[in-house]
Amino acid sequence: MSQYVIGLATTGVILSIVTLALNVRWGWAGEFDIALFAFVAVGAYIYSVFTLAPNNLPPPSGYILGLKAPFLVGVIAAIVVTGALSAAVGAVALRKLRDDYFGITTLAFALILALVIGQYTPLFDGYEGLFGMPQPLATVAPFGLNGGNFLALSVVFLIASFLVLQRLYNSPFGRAVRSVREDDTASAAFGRNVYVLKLKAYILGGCVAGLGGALLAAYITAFNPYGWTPQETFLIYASLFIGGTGNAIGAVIGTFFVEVGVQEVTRYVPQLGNNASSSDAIRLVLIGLLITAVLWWRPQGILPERRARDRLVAVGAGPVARRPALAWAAHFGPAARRAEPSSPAVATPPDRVPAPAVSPAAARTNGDDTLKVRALQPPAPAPGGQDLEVTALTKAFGGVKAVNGATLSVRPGSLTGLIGPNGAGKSTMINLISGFESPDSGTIMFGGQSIAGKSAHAISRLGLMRSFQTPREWPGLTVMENMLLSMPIAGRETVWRGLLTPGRLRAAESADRIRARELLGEVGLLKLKDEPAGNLSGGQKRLLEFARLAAAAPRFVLLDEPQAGVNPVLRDRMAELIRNMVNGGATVLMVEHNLAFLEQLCDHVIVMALGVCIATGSMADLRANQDVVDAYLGQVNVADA
Amino acid sequence: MSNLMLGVGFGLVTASILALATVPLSLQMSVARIPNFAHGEILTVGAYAAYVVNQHVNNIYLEALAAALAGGLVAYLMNALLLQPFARRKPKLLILFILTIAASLMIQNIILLFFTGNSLAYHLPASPPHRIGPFLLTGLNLFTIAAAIVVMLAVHVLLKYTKFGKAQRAVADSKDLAQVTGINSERIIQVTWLLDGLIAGFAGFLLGVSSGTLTPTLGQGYLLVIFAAAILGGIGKPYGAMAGAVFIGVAMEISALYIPASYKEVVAFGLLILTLLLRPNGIFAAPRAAGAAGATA
Repeated sequence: MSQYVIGLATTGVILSIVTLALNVRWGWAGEFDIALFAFVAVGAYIYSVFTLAPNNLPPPSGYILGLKAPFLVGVIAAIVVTGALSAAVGAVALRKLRDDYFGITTLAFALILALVIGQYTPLFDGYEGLFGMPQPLATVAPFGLNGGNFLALSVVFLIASFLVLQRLYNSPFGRAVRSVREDDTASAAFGRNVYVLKLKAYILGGCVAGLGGALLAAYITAFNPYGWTPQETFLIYASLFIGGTGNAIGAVIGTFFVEVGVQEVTRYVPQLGNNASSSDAIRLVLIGLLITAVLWWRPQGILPERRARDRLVAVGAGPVARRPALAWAAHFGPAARRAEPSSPAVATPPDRVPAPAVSPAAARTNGDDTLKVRALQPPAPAPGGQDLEVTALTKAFGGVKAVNGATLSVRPGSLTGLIGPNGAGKSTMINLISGFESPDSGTIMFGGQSIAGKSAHAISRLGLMRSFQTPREWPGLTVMENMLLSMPIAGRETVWRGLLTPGRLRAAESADRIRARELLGEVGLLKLKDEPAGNLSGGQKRLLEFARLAAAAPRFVLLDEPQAGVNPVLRDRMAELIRNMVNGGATVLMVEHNLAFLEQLCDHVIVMALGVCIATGSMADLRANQDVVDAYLGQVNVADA
Repeated sequence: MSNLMLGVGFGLVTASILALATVPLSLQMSVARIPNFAHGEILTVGAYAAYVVNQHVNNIYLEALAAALAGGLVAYLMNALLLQPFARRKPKLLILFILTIAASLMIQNIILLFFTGNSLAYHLPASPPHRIGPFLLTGLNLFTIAAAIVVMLAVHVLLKYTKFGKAQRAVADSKDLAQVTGINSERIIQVTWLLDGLIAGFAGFLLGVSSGTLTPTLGQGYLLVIFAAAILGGIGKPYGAMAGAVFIGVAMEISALYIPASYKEVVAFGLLILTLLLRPNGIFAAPRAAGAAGATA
């Protein structure tokens, strides 16, 4: 191979690593990061100042460190420092910004960094830049002199990063990060700390970008701030769009296409007049057109993100576990203790025999203490007390007092309805209890613990979960992945486990997969388990939501208009599923407009109007209550409802 | 003290240009709701169009007119050919943002293709500084400030007193609701883009005049400063955008008196980051996080 071809290949390989870094941030986590190339540059600079000899430039020139460290030390330092810088930037920028503002913030950060590095010469010698960085293996025969050895080394690094990232992508951690990309509200509702997951992805991407930067510096053996503009980041985006966002192999293909292919083709365009930049200009116009064309005709890229296949890893020779219909929380928490197995409500169909030889819970803990299920151990409610007690709760939006001193309580194990005219504050109440809004004043006690103002994911982890008026699934993930994400997390989503013990994780997850298949079977979605959840119909999404709640098995469920948009045929099925929740031991508080449906299900109904709870009791009691009739039922003829 | 007043004087000139560049962005972002990364390129197009006229005649009004028309044309075409077809598919906001990045890449490099990367300059009559009150300003500086005031007044009248302004505010509030009440939302958005480009192109000419040299990255280098002013003032609030522009412009010029002038952009970028973190809806809005989890959406 000629030196020229080797050079092209090396560029392609190193930039592929950078594209893999972007794939973590944008492809997995959906973070629109424009600072990517700033992190590459930091990696390059850190590698340079670690491996260069001590600075003896005349002031004001100069650079820090100059440790003459070996290649690998320089690379590791670059990875660590860019990781740390990503943590700092991400910790600030990921906190609460809109997606586009996040991008603008990262761009501002990158430009500030470029200005400071360019202007402040004692750091990295300003705009002069650094040069003479050592390239490893450059003098080793036979391929050192024309760069063949370094190409081989870069390929090794590319393959290593590829394998590490693939492992993480397929791990529970990777799945949780992708869930955040698909719908972070749903992720929070199922106990994920969205901020921490995004931050982890940002740091991981930063480390990989730092590796790319170190290799780039070692390859070019020079680096200055000029070669580093937002445009470089956009070229990496173009590579990823064209190759296939979320697909690591696509990322590599896209990089070679954009950074090597298009570059080489436009090199042969003759120069226009005396315009030395004409071929560059044509190349970038072409890339702009390519981005547009890909987004129009094939937004998923050449190689689309691969759909996760659901397959089971053998866990011993035991038979597949079978359990009664939606047996709520059979293995989790105090709810399980409350729900007597002999309870007549949990009707066990004759063809389904519970308690097989190897139950999923047993499989989960089989010979592996570290993966023991630690999730969902909420404090037991005080004896004789209420499960949920809301006192004098208020929440105002501007001048509108949506909830204005509301007080209510829900008995453990009950199925309670929450009704009221439009604007009564029911949805705000649900948002306040579940932590999606924080109250202005008042208290919310759940199982004897104050949860007012806690974050949504923390409340969800305590065993209080909610549904949404419009079902919120993770549309780009498969139905099975949606189910797995709804299962208790049980410490599986740590990065190091995904990296070091993927086999154990898969084995441990097999029990969850079996359970998920059962639940999907119950709601009739088993055949669709490998379909993206976004392709389901409205009713199917609602059923999936119930199956997910059953998988999560919380102690307390808030249902926000479960009937909205559901056809009448499905209604009876929904009623049955809700009853099963209660029979399984869960407490349910349900907002619903369909009074007949409520009357059929609920023993107890709370009425809200104008932000306060005005009455509670059975539907019969409420009908007799003049306040309620005035506030609400007066608008609807109950007999017709 | 007099140094400080000189800084304020330069700051007012910077602020005038910035206001002319910011108000159309803010208006567009409230109506068409697209964070336009190519906004800087509209300024660049205006500056280069004025350059072409300047090669033939030396008339500041003709140059300004050419800049405005070119900017308007490019912004209109960008919407009609690129953004509107995508917007009909109701994509995620980020996809539209990315499209404007692609547009920025294309426009900037088409300019590079035709005008090379070399620095160009207008041939303008010498404009000696006058002492006006505590300020030291050239005729061109005064023209800039006067133009900014006139355009701002025109925008005010347009938004407040015309049917178009009313329709535009309706579309900004809810595109679909406006549509069902008989407003042609797409048409309003098209005209908004045209207006956006007219003002921004003119701002590009003034930016070219004030910076002395033209390069294809003229406008892009200014983009984040414009975003800083727009977000500081609150997106969709033209008067807020003017206030944000004055604040950022004066802050940059005054800071240049105390720290190396090359760092003055850092001041603007720093203000941008602080605004986004602390008051994402602008300094005139209540401090509530933009895009806080809307669970009921």
